[in-house]
Amino acid sequence: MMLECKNLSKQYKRGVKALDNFSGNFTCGIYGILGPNGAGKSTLLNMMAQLISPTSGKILFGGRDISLLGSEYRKQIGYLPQNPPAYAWMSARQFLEYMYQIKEINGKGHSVDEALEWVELTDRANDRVKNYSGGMRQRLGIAQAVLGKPKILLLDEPTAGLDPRQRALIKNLLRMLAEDTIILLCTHIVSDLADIADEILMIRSGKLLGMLPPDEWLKRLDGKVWWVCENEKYLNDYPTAIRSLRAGQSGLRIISALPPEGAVAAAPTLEDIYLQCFMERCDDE
Amino acid sequence: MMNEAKKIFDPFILLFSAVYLIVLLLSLYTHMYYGEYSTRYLSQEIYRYAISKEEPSQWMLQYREEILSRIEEKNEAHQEGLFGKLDAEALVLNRVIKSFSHVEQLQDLWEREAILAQRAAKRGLEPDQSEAIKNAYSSLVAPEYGNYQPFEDLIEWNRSYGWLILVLLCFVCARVYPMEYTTGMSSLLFSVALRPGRIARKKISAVFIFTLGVLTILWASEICIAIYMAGSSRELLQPAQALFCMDASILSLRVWEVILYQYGAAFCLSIFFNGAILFLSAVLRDTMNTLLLGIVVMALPYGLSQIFPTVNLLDARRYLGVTELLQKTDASIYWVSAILTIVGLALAIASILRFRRN
Repeated sequence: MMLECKNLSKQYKRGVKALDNFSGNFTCGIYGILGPNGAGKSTLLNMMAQLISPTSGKILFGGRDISLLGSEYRKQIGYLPQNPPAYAWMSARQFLEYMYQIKEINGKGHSVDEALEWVELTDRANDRVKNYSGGMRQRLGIAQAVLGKPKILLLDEPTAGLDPRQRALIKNLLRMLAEDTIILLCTHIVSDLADIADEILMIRSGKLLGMLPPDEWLKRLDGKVWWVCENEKYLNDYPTAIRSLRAGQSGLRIISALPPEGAVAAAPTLEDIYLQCFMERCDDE
Repeated sequence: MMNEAKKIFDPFILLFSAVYLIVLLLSLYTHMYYGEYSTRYLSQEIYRYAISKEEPSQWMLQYREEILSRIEEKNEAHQEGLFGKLDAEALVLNRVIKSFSHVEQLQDLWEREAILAQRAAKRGLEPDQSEAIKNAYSSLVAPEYGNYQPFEDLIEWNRSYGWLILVLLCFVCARVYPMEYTTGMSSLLFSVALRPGRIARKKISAVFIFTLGVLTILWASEICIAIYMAGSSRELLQPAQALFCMDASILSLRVWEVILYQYGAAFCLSIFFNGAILFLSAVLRDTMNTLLLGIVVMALPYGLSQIFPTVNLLDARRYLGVTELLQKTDASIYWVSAILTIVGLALAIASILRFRRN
């Protein structure tokens, strides 16, 4: 089971190029997609969800073009949009039962009760969605996405608005599903991916910068992350410098091939990678 | 289909629909007996009493003379008569006499028309048609005396205000598709729903079943109100020519059949209107804009009829009234209904096809 993107490009009418010649192969596992706002992450997911068509290139599932597969492809996907939609006047159970029906799951995969249990909404299943908090709506969105055990899960910001315990819950759920599911996950919460992603894609201005396992990404910064006592000069010299505490002492976290004066080595994190990849872009913006 | 119906007809819409229907029925009720609906009991009594007499017409005339003399000569307008206050009795009696006289004159009217048709045939002017008219008149059956006023009021009310039901349908149809876009559910429906077209079809079915249900409830309630106001239902079975608005018709129709024609016309017009609004809502994806355009669509036939006053069928009210079309006895009522239904269904199907991803 493989999902292949071949030279995908998307150019909107105003000439904005949201995705530029993107290629990548996805098998079972979790793929985290990182990038700043407007990098093309959601465009990529929307293309995979067939909500928008690529300007050029194609997406293949099992070797066949998804635009030709129609409902055969749609029944394989679960999708969580960026702002999880739901009918506010329905209860969570009614909403999931509705999704169950329009997905035409017919008894296969996971039941509504199971999905509710996974996202810990069983106790509030009969409450109307309009009375839900943002986190609860988010979990409901995830529940509808995993209904019927789809082979491809497309999740746009699944952990947004969730507290740490709920994030852990969702991460556990995704890890469990990843054994036989292709999961593509867009997020800005970089630390979430460090724990669960098999591979991380960095996208900037619609272009794929790289697609590597988290360890490989981290290796790129081995010996390049430093911590120094707070110094205004470094703050200006190093655009990626971030204030951080170390053993109660205020200092700066710096990414640099050469250690600044008085710096001690620090273990690289995915956030460091993110900063290194996108800080220049932020400056441009 | 129940799921889609539940989505469209949330409690607010159902409550709004119920209130709207009640207001329409109240409007009909207050239009009965020329707006003097309080004369219901008196009218029923006088009709019942008059019909029980051997010579109802004669008794009516005599009793009216008696009442008028008491009112004019003895100034007893507020005194009690046989059935109620004298002035109210005089008012109702005038109407009863007019109605009875209309029924009595029908036979003469038909005979005159038949003779005219025969003469026309002899002169060679459309002989086949003239012969057919003559035969049609001679086969008509004279209606019995009865209280036709509430049924006439019902038919006239439908002619004037029957279109108001379209406002409710516009309100319902305008949100069928936009609700998916405003809630953001369209992205889910287009990505994970196995057959989005099927969802749209269920929506359309729910709307059309609702339309059928609302019209049936409205018409059944209207007939019940008319029977209640008339005090009996026997007038429904009488020839339609007993109604002033149908006296020149050569069709052998009963009063209930005219009302049924109105129901059919309302349903055909509703199918067209539903289709138009559904299509607009699928294109615009916005409830408010669709509602505004829907109102324009509703006003358009009236505007056109003002510009082209001789073209009867452009005015939805004339079509809904049906009596003018039935009196003409041509097939226009059938082909207009067929066109409205076909175009309405085509627009509804087009709206289904438009309910898809960008």
